[in-house]
Amino acid sequence: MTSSTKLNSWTGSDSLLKGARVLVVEDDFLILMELEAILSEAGADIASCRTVKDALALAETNGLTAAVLDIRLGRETIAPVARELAQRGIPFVFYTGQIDADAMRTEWPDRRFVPKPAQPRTIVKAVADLLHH
Amino acid sequence: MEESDGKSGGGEPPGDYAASNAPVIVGIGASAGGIQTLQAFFQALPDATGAAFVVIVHLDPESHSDLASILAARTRMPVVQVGATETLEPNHVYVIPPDRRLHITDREISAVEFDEPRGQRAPIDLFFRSLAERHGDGFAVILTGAGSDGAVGVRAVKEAGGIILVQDPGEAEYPSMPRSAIATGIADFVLPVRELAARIAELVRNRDSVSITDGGQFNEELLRRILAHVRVRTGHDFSKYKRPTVLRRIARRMQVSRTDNLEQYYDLLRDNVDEAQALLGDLLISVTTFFRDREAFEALTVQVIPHLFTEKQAGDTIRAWVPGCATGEEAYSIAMLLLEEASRRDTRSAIQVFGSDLDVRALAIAREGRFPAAIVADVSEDRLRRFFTREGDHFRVRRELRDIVLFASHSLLKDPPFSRMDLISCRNLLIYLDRELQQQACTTLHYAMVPGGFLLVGASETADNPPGLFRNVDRKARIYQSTAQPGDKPRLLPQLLGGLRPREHGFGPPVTPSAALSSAALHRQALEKVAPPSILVDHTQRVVHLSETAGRYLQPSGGPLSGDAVDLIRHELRFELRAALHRALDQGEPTLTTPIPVSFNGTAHRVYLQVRPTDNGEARPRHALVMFIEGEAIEPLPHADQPLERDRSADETIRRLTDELALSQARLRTTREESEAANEELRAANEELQSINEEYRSTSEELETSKEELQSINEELQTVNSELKLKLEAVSRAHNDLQNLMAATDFGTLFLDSGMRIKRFTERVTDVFSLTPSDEGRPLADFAHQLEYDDLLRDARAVLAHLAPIRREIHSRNGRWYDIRLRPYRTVEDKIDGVVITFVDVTERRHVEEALRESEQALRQEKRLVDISREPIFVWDFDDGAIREWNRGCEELYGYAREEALGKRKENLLATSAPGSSFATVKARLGDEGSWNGEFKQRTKDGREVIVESRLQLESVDGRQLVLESTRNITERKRWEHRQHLLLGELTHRVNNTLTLAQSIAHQTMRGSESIEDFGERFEARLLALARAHSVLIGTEWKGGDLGTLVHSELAPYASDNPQRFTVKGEAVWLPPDLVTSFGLVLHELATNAAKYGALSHESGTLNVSWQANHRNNQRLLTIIWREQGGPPAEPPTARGFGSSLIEKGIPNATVKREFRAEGMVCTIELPLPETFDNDLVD
Repeated sequence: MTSSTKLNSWTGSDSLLKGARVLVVEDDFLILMELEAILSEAGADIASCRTVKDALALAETNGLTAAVLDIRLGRETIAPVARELAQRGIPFVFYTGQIDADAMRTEWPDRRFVPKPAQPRTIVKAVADLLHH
Repeated sequence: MEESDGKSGGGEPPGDYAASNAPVIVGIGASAGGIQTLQAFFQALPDATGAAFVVIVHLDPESHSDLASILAARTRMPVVQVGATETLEPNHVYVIPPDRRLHITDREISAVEFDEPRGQRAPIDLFFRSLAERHGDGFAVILTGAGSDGAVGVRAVKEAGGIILVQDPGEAEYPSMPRSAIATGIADFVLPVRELAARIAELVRNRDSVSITDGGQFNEELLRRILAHVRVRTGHDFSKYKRPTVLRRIARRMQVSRTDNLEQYYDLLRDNVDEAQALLGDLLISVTTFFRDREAFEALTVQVIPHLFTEKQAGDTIRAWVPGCATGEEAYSIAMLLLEEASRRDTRSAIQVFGSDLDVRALAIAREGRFPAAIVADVSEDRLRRFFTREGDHFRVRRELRDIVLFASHSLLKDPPFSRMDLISCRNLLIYLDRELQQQACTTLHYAMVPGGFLLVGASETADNPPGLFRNVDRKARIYQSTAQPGDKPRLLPQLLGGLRPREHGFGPPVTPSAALSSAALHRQALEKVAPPSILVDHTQRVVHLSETAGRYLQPSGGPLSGDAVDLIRHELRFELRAALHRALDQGEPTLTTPIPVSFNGTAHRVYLQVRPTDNGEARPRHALVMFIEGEAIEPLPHADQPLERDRSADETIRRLTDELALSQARLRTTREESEAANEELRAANEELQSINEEYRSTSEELETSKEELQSINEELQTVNSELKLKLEAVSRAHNDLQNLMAATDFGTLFLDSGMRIKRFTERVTDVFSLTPSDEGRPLADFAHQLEYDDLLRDARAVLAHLAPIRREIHSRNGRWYDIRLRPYRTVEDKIDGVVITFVDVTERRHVEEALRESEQALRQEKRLVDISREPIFVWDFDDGAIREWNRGCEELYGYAREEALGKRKENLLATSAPGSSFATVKARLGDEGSWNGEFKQRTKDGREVIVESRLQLESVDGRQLVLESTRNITERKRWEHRQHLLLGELTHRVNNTLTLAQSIAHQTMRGSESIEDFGERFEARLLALARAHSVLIGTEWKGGDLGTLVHSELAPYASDNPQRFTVKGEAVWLPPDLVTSFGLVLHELATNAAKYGALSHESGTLNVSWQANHRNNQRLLTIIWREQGGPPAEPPTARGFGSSLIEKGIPNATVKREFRAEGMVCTIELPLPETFDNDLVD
C-alpha cells in the first residue's frame, strides 16, 4: 500500500503503537484515511468507521485498546460512542475542529481534546499516552 | 323716706294706743277674686268689733267702683269710699277709690294720687307701709289675689308691732298674693277667710286686756326671766335692747298667743319650745327696702361713693358692710351704687359687700335675691333693667350684683366684726340698743373700718357715743367718717357681749376708805362709844357694819366665814336674833327680847336684844339695827338640895319656873313661825331651783347640740379648707402652666377685654405691635401695627358680637405672613369677657408650601415622563416584592396592564431569574450595596422569555425599602450574539476541517508522488478541485449545491474547442455540503484520470455524465454514470493509489463501480440521498 519513495518516511515514530488496536471514528473520508495511515505507520491495528451506528458496533468488539474520536459526525455527535467506550474502560481522545465543544468538555473533563489539524506525531503521542496509562 | 320719725322717733313708738282713743286699724288687701272673699269676710265679721276696716283692692283707674255698696250689703257697719280725707271711726269700713292710694295718719285716712305709673302700682304695700308708720298695733290682712302686692307691706306692719293674717292659699281663688305674704315668713295666722274674721274680732277684743304692766306695776323680774329664757333658747341676749321695743314685741306675742299677762306668757314660753323662736323672730323683725331713705342714699352717692373709688388703686377691693341687713335690700342697694360708680369710672376695682344679720330666715331670703314685684316702687326702672331679671311676680337679682354681695349670720354685738371696711351702713339698729350697747356697737364699727372709712346710720341715730370715734360728714344724711388715721396704732377689739350670764353684783357696795374723819363721823364715833354695842344688818340679814364694841357678842360658828348676822352672833343669842330680824325686816316691827343669859368668861350676864328696822319710810325696810343691852351678872343658882334654902325660896322657884315656861313658850312660838317661814322659803327656793334646773338641762342639751354642730361644722370647715388648699395649688399650678405655655408657644397671643383694651399679651405680639408691659390696660386702637390688616378691630368687635371665631392669613409690612385667629374669651363660667387674638408666624410655612408646590409640579412632570417613557420602569417593595409602580414601557414589554401588575410579587409575576446566579443572590447584593446592574431572564404575559438588562436602585421611602428597576430588552441582541458565536464556532470548525482535509490531501498525495514536482502538480490540482467545490458551496451560503453545477465546475479545466467533448445530463439534485466536497474531489480524480489515461487524453474522446434520482424502498437513490468514449481502451490501474481510494471510498455510503471497457471507462456511483435536510447551521 505504501510507496517506497523518500517522501513517505515522515513520521519517524514507527512501532510506537505496536500491538495496539485503535478505533478511529471520523466522518470525513480523507481525514479518516490520513488517521489510518498515521496510526498504521505507528504500528497500530486500526478499526475505523464514519458513523455513530458503525462506531457503536465496533465498540462492542473485543480487543480495542484505544480510540480516536471526531466529535461531529455529519449531523450526529460522538457522545453515545464515548459513553459506551468509557463504560467498557477503553481510553480515548477527541480529535476535533470545534474550539468550544462545551457540552463534551463538560461531560468529559478529564479527557484530552486534540485540536484539528494536528501533527501526526501529536496524534500518535496522544494515543500512545492512552495506552501507557 | 318719710316714715322714720313715726316708727322710731327717739326710738320709741307710742306705747299704749288704748289711751289715744284712736280705733284699731285693720287693713285688708285683696285683688283678683277679692269681691266674693271680702263679702264672705264681712258676712262672718261681728258688727261691733271696735276696729276700723280699710279695704284696698286693685281697681280699674278708669271706671267707677261699686265695691262700697256691695260690701254695705254684708255688714251693718257704715261703708265709705274714701274721698279726700276721712276721720277714722271705729266700726267703720273704708274702701279705696279707683286710681288712688290710701294714706293714713293718726286719726285720718286720705286718698292721694299715685307717684308710680300705671302697671307698677302696689296700693296694698303703700297702705300697709303708711299704716306701719302711724299705727304700731295695726292688723294687716292679705286675701286672694294675683301677684305679690302686700308682701313688702306686711313686713313693715309686723315690724311696727302689728299682726299679720293671711287667707289660706288653699282656699283662695288666686293664691299668689297669700303665698307671697307667707313666703316672708312673718305671717302670724294663715286661716280660711271665715276663721280670719272670727280671729280678728277676738284679737281686737282681747287687745285691751293684754297688759304687760301688772296693775300698773311692771314686773322687772319676770321680764328678766323671759329674756333669760330667750337667751338660753336662742343664744341672743335682748336684755340690753331698748326696753319699750322689747316690751312692745312681747306684747304682740302675748296678743297672738292669747295670753293675758306676763306670767302667763312666761309659762307659755317655758312650756312651748317654739315660742322662744317665735319671740326671737318678732324681736328681730325689721323692715328694710331698697334705697330706704332716698336722701341718705343721694348723699351717699354724691359724697361717699366717689371718694371710695378715688382712694383705691386698680386691683384693690372696696369693702362695704351692712350689719342688720335683714332681707338684704340695703346691702343690694349699696352694691348697686358701687357697681354704677364702677361702670361710670370704668374701673377695675373689685367690690365686696357684706350683709349680716341674726335672723337666719331673713338671710335666706336675702341670699335667694328674689323680691316681690312691688319693689318697683323703690327701684328705678334703669336699675331694674340692669340689676334684676323678671320672674313672674318677682324680680331676681342678676348674677353681676348677687356675686359681689355676701350674707352671713353674724351678731354685731357678740361676734368679732368684719374688718377693713370702707363703708358701713348700720341703719336702724342702734335705736334698739340701750346706751351701753350703743357705745359698744359704735366702738365695734369703728374697729371694723379702715382709717377714714364711712359710716351711715339711721335718721334718728348718732355715732357720737362714745365721742371721738367718728366725725360728722353730713348731719342730715347721718354720714360719719372714722377719725382714725392711717398711721394709728392698731386698736384693741372692743369688748363684746361674752357668755350668757349677766354680770353679778359684788358682795356689797364698795367701802371707800376716807382720808380724814369728818366731825360728823367724830360725833358718830362718840355716840357709838356710849351707845350700846350694835350691828347693822341688811335685808338679807348680812352684817353691813359693826359698832366698835359689838365684837363682845360675836362668836362665829365653825366653817367658812359668812356675813350672816345669825351665824356671827354668840350662839345663846341666835335664836332670838333670828326671830327678831324676821320681824324687823319682814314686818317692820321692832323687838325687845327678854333677858337672855349669856356666859362671858364663865360669868353669866343677862343680855337684852333690841332689833329695830331702820326707818326710811319704805314699805319694806332695807336694813335693821341690832343692839345689845347687857344687864348685871347673874348669881349662880343655889343648889336645890340645900334644905335651908328650900322653903325660903319655893315661891321664888315657882315664879322663876313660870317665867321660864312663858319664855319657852314664846320661844317655841317664834320657832314655829320661823320654821313655817323657812318652809315657805324652801318651797319657793325649790321651785326656783327646779326651774333653774330645767333651764340648765335645756341649756346643757343645747350646748351638747351646739357642740356636735360645732364639731361637724369644724369638720366641714377642715374639708373646705383642704379643698381650698388643693384648689389654690391647682390654681397656682395652672398659673405656672399658663406662664410656661405662653413662654413656650412661639406665637403671639393678645388678650383684649370687651372694651378692646389690652389685658395681657405674650412676647411675640411685640413683633406686630410695639407694646411694652406698661401698655396693659390701654386701648388697642392706640397702637399702630405692622399688618396689612385694617379690619383687625372691626373683626375683634364682630367676634365679640357674634361669638364666631375669625381666622385670616395676613401679610405684614415687613414681609412676613401671619395666621391670625380671633376668638371670644370665655371664662370658666362661660361668660364672654373679651377677645383672644393669636398671631402665628407662618412665613416659613408659606415658603415651604410654595417650594412644595413647585417640587410637586416637577415631580408630577417627572412621573408623567416616566409614565409615557417606553423604557420599562417599575418600583417594587424590597421586603415583600410587591410591585408599586408600573409604567407604560412595562406594559408594552411584559404585556401586563398596570392594574394587573400592581401589588403582585415581581419575581413571581415575571418569573425572574438571573443567569449564572439566582434572584435571591441578586437581592442580597442589592441589599448590601444599594444597587445592582445585570441581566435577568423574565417571562412576559404571553409566555415569551425575554432577557433584560436591569438597573436596580434601592431607595428608602417612609421606612420602606423600595427598589427602582429600569430594564432594557436585550433578547434580540442576545440572539444575535448567540448566532455570531455559533457562526464563529462553525467557521473555526470548517476552517480546521478544511485545513485538516488539506493536510490529509497533502500527506496522501505525498505518499503517491514520485518527485516533488509531481507532488506539487497533483496537490495543487486537488486543492483547486476542493476550492471549486467550496466555491459552489459559497454560492449557496454553504447550504449545499446542485449536482449539475458541481459537475460543470469540476469539468471546466478540461474543456476544449470541441463542444461535444462533455455531455452532462441529469435532473436537478441538491447535495448537502459534505457531499458537495466529496463529490468535487471524486469528480476531480475521475477527470484527472480521464485526462491522463482515458477519453480526454485524445481530441476525439468524449465524456458523458448523467444521473437520475429514483425512489427505492422509501429512499431516494441517486445513480450517477460517468461514461468515457473515443479514447484509448481503458485498463485498470496498475497500483491502487490515493486517487483510486478516493474515488471508491470518498463518498460516504456510496457504492462506486468502475468498469474498464475498450471503448472507455464507465463509473457508476449509487448513493442514497437523505430524504430532506435542512440547511440550518445550528443542528
